Amino acid sequence: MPCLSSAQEFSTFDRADSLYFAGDFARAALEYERVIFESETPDDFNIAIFRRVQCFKQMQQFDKASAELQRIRLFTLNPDQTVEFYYERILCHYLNSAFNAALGAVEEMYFNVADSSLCNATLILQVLVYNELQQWDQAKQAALAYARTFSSPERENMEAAIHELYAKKNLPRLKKKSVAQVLAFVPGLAHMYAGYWLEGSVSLLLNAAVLAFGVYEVLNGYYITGYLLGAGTLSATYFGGFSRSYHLLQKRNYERIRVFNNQVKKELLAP
Amino acid sequence: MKKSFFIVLFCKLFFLPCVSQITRNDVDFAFYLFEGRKFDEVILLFNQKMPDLKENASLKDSINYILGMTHYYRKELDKSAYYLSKISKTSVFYDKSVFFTALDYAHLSEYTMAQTVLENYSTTKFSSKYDQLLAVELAGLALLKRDFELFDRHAKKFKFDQYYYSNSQNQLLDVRKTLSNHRPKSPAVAGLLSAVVPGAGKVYAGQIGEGIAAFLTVGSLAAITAENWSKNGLSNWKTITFGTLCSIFYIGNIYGSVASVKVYRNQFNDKQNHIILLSIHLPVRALFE
Repeated sequence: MPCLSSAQEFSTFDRADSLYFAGDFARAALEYERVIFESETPDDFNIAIFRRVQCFKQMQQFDKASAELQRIRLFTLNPDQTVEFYYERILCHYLNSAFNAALGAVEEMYFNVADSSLCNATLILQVLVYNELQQWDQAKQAALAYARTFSSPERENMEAAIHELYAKKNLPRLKKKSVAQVLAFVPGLAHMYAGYWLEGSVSLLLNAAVLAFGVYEVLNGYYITGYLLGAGTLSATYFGGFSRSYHLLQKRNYERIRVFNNQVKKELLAP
Repeated sequence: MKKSFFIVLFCKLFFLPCVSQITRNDVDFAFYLFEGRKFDEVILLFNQKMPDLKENASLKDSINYILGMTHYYRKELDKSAYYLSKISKTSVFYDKSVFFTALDYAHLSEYTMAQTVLENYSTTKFSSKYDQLLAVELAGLALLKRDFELFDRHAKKFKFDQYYYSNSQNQLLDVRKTLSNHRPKSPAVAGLLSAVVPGAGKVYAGQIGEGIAAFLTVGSLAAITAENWSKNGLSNWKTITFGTLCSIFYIGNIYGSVASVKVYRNQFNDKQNHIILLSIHLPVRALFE
């Protein structure tokens, strides 16, 4: 269990630990809380909270894990433990998809830890957080700093891979919302811009067919039918296309960021 | 009644078989969890360790209180009422548990049960301290049952002199006035109005947007049908198609208007009940928390 190693005896933790190792994380968390309730020293208190965090992480309850970390008495931790605390905090926020909160924790860590070299343990997490926030320059700097923690020749190989990954041509090319908004005036074009060619073509044909029906009816003297049925239906399909194309644009950008971030993870976490 | 039986069965099946020794320290720990709003963990604690309830009445009351209030905060009101109603008269939690039990039953729409709990309490020696609160609660429950005579009897005890209750007392009197002045809308009138002018029944039922939408839909289909009828005749496929569609929407609109009045009635009653429940809930929370 990766948390706050210490030379202390943890006899009061025995029951909780045995539940944890038996995989009964809910009851283990409860027993760690009992340790907190009965704790006489700040060390016991902090260690029990760290272990509760592990329990919540195991149960995939990352919001609870983040909340639990707020209870840590930070002033009682030594610098190594402080970094370990921030590592957990950044990780829990990251796993909870609270990327801005994770970034806040990174900034707070550098403010609170005097020896910034200790913060290197969190560099990988920083890269992942910056990537999620599409802050490519900061992500690259953090990745290079991480590479510098290795020795030659591994370091050179890693640096080369990072430069290649974060080269402008390899960064995810995100579709612009402003372009899509202009293109959406022609039904289907914004769909195609987002990369959904088939859906865009169907939308274009559908709108054209409805428009043609309306015009045909009007030309044949069926003004009410042409206007109410043609224009009525067209307004629904035309304006519906706007919101749909915006949704598709977001979906496509999300997919591209996902692919890029997975590539970075693979590169940095490779053995 | 059936529901209560299953709740009791549930509690007995899940908790009582796990009888083991429990200490004051365990109860203190439970209070600590409860005050830290760790409700899931309170339930988990008693799920794995439940005392022999016959042994110690004080401990038993404490546990029933913690479990009752925990279920209350988890909005499991039936279970909350089950535990809170078991607290003995000698307990320090007795007064609070009575009012929260009544609130649980009121929110579960079991108004008679809530009334019984409070009426039994009103006959005890403890009740004089909370006579104003009792009057508010009993008046509110009478209003929930639409028993205006009973409400007036309890409302006579309102003194409007205490911050905790005066707002609720005024609100209950307002609701009483609204309910007695309310003239229910008729589904037949709504149907008739929609038959004459499509959508008018929905406007009558208070759904103006839906009424306009219904008018435009039926009106558009009628206009298209009329145009095709005048140009192609009655037997043309377009006239038949749009005429059929228009008829379906026209009849559907009448049926919808009748249903709208029923929805309106329910919404009106729900809104008034919500105000009443809030008026009887807030003073209890303010006084005991």
